[in-house]
Amino acid sequence: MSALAQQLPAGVEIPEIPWAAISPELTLFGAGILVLLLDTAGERRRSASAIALVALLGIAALAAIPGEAAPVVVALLIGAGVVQLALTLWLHTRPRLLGAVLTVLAFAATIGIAAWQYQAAANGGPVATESLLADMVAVDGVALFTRFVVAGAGIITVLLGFAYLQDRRIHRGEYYPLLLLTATGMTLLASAADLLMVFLGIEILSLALYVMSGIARRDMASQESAFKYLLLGAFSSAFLLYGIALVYGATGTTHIATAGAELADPATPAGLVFAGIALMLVGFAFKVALVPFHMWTPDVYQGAPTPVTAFMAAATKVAAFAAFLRVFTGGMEQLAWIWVPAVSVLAAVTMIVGAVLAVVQDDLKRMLGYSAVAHAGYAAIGLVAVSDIGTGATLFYLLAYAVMSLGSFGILTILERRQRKAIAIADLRGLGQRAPALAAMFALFLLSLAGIPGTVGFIAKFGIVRAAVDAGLVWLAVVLVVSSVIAAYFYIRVIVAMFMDEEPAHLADLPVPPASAASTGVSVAAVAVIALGVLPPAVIDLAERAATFAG
Amino acid sequence: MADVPLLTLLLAVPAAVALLIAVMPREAVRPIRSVAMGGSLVTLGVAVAVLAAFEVGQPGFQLEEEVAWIPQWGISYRLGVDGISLLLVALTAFFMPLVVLAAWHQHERAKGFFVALMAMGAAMLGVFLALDLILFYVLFEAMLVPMYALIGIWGGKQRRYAAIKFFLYTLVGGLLMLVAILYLYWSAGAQSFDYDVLRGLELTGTEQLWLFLAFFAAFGIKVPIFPFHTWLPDAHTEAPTVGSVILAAVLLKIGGYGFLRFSLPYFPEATISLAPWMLGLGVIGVLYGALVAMMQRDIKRLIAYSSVSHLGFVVLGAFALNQTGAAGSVVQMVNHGLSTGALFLLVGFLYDRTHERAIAEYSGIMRVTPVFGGLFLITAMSSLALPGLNGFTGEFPILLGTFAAVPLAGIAATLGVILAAIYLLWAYQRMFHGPVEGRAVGLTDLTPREIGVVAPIVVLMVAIGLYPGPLYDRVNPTVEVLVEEVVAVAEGADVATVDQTGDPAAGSDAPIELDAPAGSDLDSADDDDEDEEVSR
Repeated sequence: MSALAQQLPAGVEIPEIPWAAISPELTLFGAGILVLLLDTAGERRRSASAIALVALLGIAALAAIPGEAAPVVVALLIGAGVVQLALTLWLHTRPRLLGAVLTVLAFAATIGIAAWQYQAAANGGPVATESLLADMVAVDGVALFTRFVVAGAGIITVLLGFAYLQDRRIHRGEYYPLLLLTATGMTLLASAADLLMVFLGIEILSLALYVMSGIARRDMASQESAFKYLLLGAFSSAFLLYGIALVYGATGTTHIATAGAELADPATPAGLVFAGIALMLVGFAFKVALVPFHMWTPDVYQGAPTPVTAFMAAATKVAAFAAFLRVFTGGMEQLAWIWVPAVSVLAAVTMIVGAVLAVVQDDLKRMLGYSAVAHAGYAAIGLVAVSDIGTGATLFYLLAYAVMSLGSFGILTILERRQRKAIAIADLRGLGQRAPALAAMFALFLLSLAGIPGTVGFIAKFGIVRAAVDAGLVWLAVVLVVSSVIAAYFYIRVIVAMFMDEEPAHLADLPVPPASAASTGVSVAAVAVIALGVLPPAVIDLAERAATFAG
Repeated sequence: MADVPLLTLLLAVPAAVALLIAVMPREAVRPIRSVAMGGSLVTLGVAVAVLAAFEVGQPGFQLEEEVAWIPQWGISYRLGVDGISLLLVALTAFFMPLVVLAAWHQHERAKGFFVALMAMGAAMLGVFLALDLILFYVLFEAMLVPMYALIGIWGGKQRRYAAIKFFLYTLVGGLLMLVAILYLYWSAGAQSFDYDVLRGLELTGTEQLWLFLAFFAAFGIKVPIFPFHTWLPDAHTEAPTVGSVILAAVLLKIGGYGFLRFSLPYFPEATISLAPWMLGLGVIGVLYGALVAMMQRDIKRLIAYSSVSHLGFVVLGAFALNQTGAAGSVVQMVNHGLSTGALFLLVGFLYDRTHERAIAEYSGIMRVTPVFGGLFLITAMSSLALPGLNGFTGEFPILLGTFAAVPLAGIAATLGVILAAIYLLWAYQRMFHGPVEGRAVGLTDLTPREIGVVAPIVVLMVAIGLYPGPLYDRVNPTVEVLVEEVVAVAEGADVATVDQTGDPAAGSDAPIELDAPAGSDLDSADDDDEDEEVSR
């Protein structure tokens, strides 16, 4: 490495690569490539084992590169290599299962690494919490929290999708690599300390998601969803990039913290400051779906294959909000007077419009899409509180929303498999009698989305309201309450259909969905909804301590 | 005894039973209801232990338990009982085995039914015991879901409409209260939702007014106070018998309880300035409920409106702002629970037989089913406050208290008692007397099980009617402190707001004076009760 450095012209520094800090991204990305390669082998034993063997060697080489890596790390890396080789030899006849298992393992490893990083950071260990990689990446509280949520959501998504994709004959080999890549983009986005990394993260996650939402190639709705997402995503990226360019023009840097400080300097041209902030705001508002930049959400959520929708709702929201928080709350705290009023209004409008439009929906995926819009509004309140309490509240809200949305979209994947069509409210009639456990869990998720006490939804909303009142934004708290009441109506409507309506004959003939990987995933989400709703202190603590931004 | 967390046990038993039933197979109807009955009896046993452990004559909270729940947000799990909540807790626990017995032949989706019932029991007990405002709110809202299910799944023809109406009304009120609670928390600066911490806040008059109104939204809807009562007749009519009983016996009490527990001590100035309005709403409730009840053709609706009327008395008692009225109001809540609960049970038994609720469809029931007729008559008499039965022991002190506060309101409310006699006796006459006609033909009398459900209630009606002393002994000390606190503010406040209690200087004396006529027969009971204490 030093030889390489000598060949470079003077003035170019090779940044020290903090392997430990970016190991979750490396894990996800590496697993994505591996699963993609294994997929090319199909069911051929020899090719599959060759690829796995090469991967093992590659991993072993990687373990040697850092040189000073601890023996534990080397052992873990080689262990991972051996595990994937063994799995490949065992499961090579069922490539999709192999892909799914490896994906789950990669996500689990990410959670493990993130937990270690969290522990290490808390104890002042080897993971630095300041900006790394030439100030491009920051492994701070927000980043770590996002890693947990994204990886957890990833595992549940795999569980939800397996049988569903099989049934719809869209269980393509590229599905799992794309899932891992989009997760890589998300964690990268959440740990971006530089506006360019923000842009890169958004692009990585979006490109993979565009393909995933269009993976049902013969389904017009899925194609439409992918196309819309692509167009509007490109549109919003353009806004964001233009905003970044203006900020760079005004300050001469794309480093978030430095640029934020420069922007606040009165000497900086006001026009550039306002325009830059406004354009970036539009970009982020698109990504997190604040009204009036929410138009794509219902269409995309409705058209994409349901497990993809679940992942989009749960994980994309967290990652996008993490970057939103980092750039605005973290980076431009001093400019709060410019953007807080704007985002407050957007949040208020979002809460009301999302809830009102959800009321008139009949298709459940679309309804949950509008509800996702309303929930983006709730989460945004923690952002405009511009405080640690607010950031913590938003992070906890996103975790809660991830659990609730994975659960409810998960239920929809199970029901869609059973009925082989999109689910409208009328299709749920009598489900409480037919499949009581499933209906009870769905009711639980809906009550949680409505914010009824005893569920995580309540605790999360409570945290948001507390942050709002603390920041003197009582009016936003009141809007949240109004929106919640409107929203309660349509969640209740679904529960009414499930438990209080008679089952129509054409539904009675269908078999009861058996226990499956998807029902396991949904059950995990249900347990989380109750556990976090009844005994949340530990996770609140996690979220509040995660409310730190690296400088 | 002191080491046993009695109050937690009181919540934990029904909650655990609900969970246990939830994991039982749904075909196992018999084991399910046996478990439900066992759990309710244990709950009742714990409630009796709480009654026994309660130290009479002490105004503050007793048997307190406190554990940090969400320490970051200053939320704790704190329970306790005092004179205001003790009787309501006992009433709730008393009704639990009765409703299980009443629903003994519930075969349609029995599992869910008993889960909802037990969850309901845990949440209701918790609401009366919670001494942390967020815990209170959580349990207040948690009641919503099982009650909503009881109405919506096992209810009558219009059940969806009634269930959604119930849900949304209560949710709106609850959320407004939540915002008020958060405001209190924020202005407290103490980072705590503890009942006592928030009780000691210094709030300006305007703040008090708004916060009072926000809490009023929650409790006024629950009571329900005219004009927020419209959900009640629908909910009552459509709910299954057991649902109506729980609603009448316990759930509506949370409104009155909330006024005494939160509104009065938290916002004394607002209470005093709004008391005339509250009394006015109480009187309207009493008279309006009674008049509308008189017009009903459906017996269940009639009882539902009689509830509106009787609970108007609770509001009157609470806002008369003297000890007589406030104590009467607590006792009235218990009495209304017993008599209206029993009426709903009896009407339910009738409905089980005929599936008909129209008064005009019945005539001469008394001749066909004398036991049913007799029990109905006693219960109706209790409901219309016949001296010697329990209804009187609550309504009379309330009337005295109201009369002392605003004579006109007292007079008007007394009309309500007369109207109650008219609508109940008239309905009784139409249904039970006369020639045996309509659905009364071939009616079978109550089964031993059904008698077993109503008999304990009737025994209590008579017992309380003859000997209400023990109730007042437990209520009075707490209520005395409460009223003194509010009246002390009145003395410090503008005289203009106090004039309805007469001479402001007499404000603090008034309760004690007023106690004499109310308790003339109660005082004698007190002495006996002391003996009882010794013997215990």
